[in-house]
Amino acid sequence: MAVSVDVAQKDLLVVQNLKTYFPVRSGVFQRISAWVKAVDDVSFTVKEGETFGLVGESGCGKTTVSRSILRLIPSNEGTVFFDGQDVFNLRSNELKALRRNMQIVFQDPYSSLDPRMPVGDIIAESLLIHGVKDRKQRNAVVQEMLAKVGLNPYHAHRYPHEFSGGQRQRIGIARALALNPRFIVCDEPVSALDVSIQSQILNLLKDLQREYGFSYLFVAHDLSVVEHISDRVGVMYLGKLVEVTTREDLYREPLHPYTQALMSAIPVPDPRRRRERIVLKGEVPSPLNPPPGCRFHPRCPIAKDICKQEIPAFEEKRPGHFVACHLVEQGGRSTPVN
Amino acid sequence: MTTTAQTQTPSAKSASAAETAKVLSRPSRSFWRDAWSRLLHNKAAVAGALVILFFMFVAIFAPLLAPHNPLELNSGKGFLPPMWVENSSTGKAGTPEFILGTDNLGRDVLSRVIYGARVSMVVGFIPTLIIVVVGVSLGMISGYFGGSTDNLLMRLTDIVYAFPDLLFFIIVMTALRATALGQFLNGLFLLFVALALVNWVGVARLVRGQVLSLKEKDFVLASRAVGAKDTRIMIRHILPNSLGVIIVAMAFLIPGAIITEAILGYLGLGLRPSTDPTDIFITSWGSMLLEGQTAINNQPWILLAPAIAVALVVLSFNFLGDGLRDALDPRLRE
Ligand SMILES: Nc1ncnc2c1ncn2[C@@H]1O[C@H](COP(=O)(O)OP(=O)(O)OP(=O)(O)O)[C@@H](O)[C@H]1O
Ligand code: SF4
Ligand SMILES: [Mg+2]
Repeated sequence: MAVSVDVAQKDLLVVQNLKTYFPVRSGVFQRISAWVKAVDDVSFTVKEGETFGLVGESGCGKTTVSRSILRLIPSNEGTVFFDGQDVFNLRSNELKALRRNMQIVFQDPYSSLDPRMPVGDIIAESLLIHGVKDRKQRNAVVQEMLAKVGLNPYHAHRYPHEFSGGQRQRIGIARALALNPRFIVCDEPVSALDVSIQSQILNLLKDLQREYGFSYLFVAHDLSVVEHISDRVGVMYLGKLVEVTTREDLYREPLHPYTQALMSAIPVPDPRRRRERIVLKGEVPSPLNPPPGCRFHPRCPIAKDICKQEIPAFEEKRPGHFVACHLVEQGGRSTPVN
Repeated sequence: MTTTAQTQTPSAKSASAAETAKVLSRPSRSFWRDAWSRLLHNKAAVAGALVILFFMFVAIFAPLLAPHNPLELNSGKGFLPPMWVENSSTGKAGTPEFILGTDNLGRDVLSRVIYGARVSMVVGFIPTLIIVVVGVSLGMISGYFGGSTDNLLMRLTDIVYAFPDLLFFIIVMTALRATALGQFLNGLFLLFVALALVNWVGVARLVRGQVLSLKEKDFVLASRAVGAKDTRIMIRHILPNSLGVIIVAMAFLIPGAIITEAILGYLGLGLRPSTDPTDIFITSWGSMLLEGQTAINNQPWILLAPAIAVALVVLSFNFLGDGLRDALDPRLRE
């Protein structure tokens, strides 16, 4: 389905070989004794105006990827380009300028808003930092943003604890919008919300994108959420990307065994289309001590000997369809699962 | 979800309208306003606060309130019992002229208690302010920046913790009593310094712990994501969120300092007794305990008056501190 890959679209965010490890300290002197390889060699791009869905089980490193890209936490290796700028090599004033264009909506609507600040101040903080000295001007933007996310003007004077989870997420979105960014990371923005509220927030995010044309990196832990919002999808497993392609390709023909397992877990309303549920054996191993070779091999239903020894390359197996698996042939048929 | 895309705006609006109605029906409440109303509902805390305010008033207006000059030796009128005692063991009867009686030198006990309030209030508040400023600054820096500064500061606090407080006070107050430092403000300055040196560690550790947990919160990351600098994050986000525990800590530091002064005064190491009526600090409750102790059998009032005053003030601060803790503890919030 190369048709859906708009080649003319410009790459806005380019992530290359990103590695983010967390030190594990132990002993009296708190020496670094090991590394949690939370993100280990991840590459992908987000095009101008598109939504890139990043999917994976809890703990696979999605949040770490998001925060590394925004330089909220330090990374060990790799590069991130935003609109041609090398994000990891910016001076502080350049970084500050970049922050106008890259924003984030957090997963937890409770810890993401300062409980001691009125909502108006929370939304206006970015404006204050970026030199909007006039209070009236800031208030005007706050009012505009509140309206955009479906809240009321007087909400500006209230404190976060006076709002529901869904409303808090709206406040978080308003904060991200205030500087008029070109790229927003949504780190599981709905996973902490009631199912009934989830679609409201997803629709709000979609509508805002239609209006402003920004790009999203949309993180989720299951494929059913990203299916409705993403143009392209990346699947992560234990700190690595295992598959990246367009939404259509992925849902029509998932190539990686892990993606296939995830896909089979999505409930399908039509019984004739029912997929055989692939139940993965075992637990996700710890990123502290990942398995050698393909990180998925202890749980992979079709693993061969080579999988235990060699790390599969992340290759373009079909046009625009990247997979990291020894058994997916170049241009050939999909993997012979079951 | 795709199918509801067209209808989302109205449905989102109506959902938030329902929530809006709920929110509109009550006044906006900041954390501090909530805490204040919770505090006002706590009778013990309010009573404690009133007693403290009363003693502060007494301390400030001591010269106007004291019926006698606290240094005046009323010759021939020593050992008088309180006015309501008609026949004390000394064979004397109380008189309304000396409401709480007189001591062995004929000085009015009530006037001395009134003047003693000055020392207790000052010893309670001033070192606590120093402790909070120092402890909060160091705790913030330590917790926020971590690294070797943090290590160094924490080892320093370990050392201070390991040293017995009272022993430290006794050594310092004894060793430096004769120096200029020990004489400044009738010895109170030295006491302030000693109290601050011992107690900043508790506040620093408390604040450090707060900072460590707060700096991991998403709202701090959110602030950094819009370009906030460290100082802004510390002052605008971390400090306001730590203020509750800092205030509670203060409320318990103050009575601790007052007790320390009383103990040191009793050991003869507190305020240097003054004979100059123009001094602000003439006597302290601790010194009065020492004076009264020798006459405990025959003239218990000399000891009881300052002892009750100390107990009342300390108890009041503890009630207020408990009330503040309940009012400010975020775990009680929904
Ligand atoms: N600050 C940290 N120090 C040490 N390890 C960390 C830290 N943050 C994350 N990790 C570890 O890194 C791995 C990836 O974490 P991350 O939060 O990125 O996962 P995630 O995919 O976002 O999961 P979730 O769906 O639960 O949000 C996990 O094993 C986690 O325990
Ligand atoms: S490389 Fe081997 S173990 Fe890894 S997913 Fe492919 S088949 Fe499974
Ligand atoms: Mg996460």
